[in-house]
Amino acid sequence: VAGAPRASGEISGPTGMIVGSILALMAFLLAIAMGMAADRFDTRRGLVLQEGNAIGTTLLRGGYVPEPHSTQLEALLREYVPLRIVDDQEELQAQIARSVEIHDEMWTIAEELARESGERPVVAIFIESLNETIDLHTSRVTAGLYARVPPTVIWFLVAGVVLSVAMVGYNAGLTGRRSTITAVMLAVVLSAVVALVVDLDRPAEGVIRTSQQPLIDLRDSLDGR
Amino acid sequence: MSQQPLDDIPLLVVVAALFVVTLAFYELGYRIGRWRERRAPQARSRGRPA
Repeated sequence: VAGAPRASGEISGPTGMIVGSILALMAFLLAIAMGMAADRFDTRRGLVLQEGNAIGTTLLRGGYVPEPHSTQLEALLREYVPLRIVDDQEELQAQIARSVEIHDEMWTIAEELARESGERPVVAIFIESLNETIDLHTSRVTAGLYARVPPTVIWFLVAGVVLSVAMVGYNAGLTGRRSTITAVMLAVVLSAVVALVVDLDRPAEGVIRTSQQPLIDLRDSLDGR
Repeated sequence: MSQQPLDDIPLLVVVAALFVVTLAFYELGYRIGRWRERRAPQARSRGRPA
């Protein structure tokens, strides 16, 4: 009843239950956000492997096409592979722009080959793998730059963490009992989980990065040829 | 290029800021709780029949 006197237990009792529910809801939200970030991270990692394989196949099949196209293609792919290794966010746009230029140059060669060689199977399978290489460029750009965890989810996560911890503090205030160590540990754990979600969602920055190893291996094998 | 709200902030700063803000809100919640608890006995005494 509004305005009715409240005993101390009547305030703290239901509040504790509500705080428990809010924390459970936060755990659910954190799990969803972590799942979204981890999915995107796995996709990016898988695409790096696929691209490494596709470029390697294009390089091998490019060896079957007649000269001088074969040599031109190898030179272009040798320049292309290091551009696909993302290790510096600052240079990313320049790498993407040069990659697209190389696609155009390789495609021009493929068109010439198709015109000169007619319907030779060797040319057909080379064009197929070149097409896949170009498609994977688009997939990686989309996965790396645009397919991120929606900002709304990140903001909800931050607001949820802050407000749920405030409710834990409120409940401690009502009961008059609090532990500094528990509060600090709660803040550390929740901040770390949110930071993990943010980190997983940053492809080329932070502690957890998408491994570029398949492309690094390909570059090293090309350097050794 | 797609930009997230926290993209321009280094990860360590994000962690530190979250930690500080979280602790600050815990303290704020605690103080509000204490204030509410202190007010409760007063409300009880006001509501008591003469």
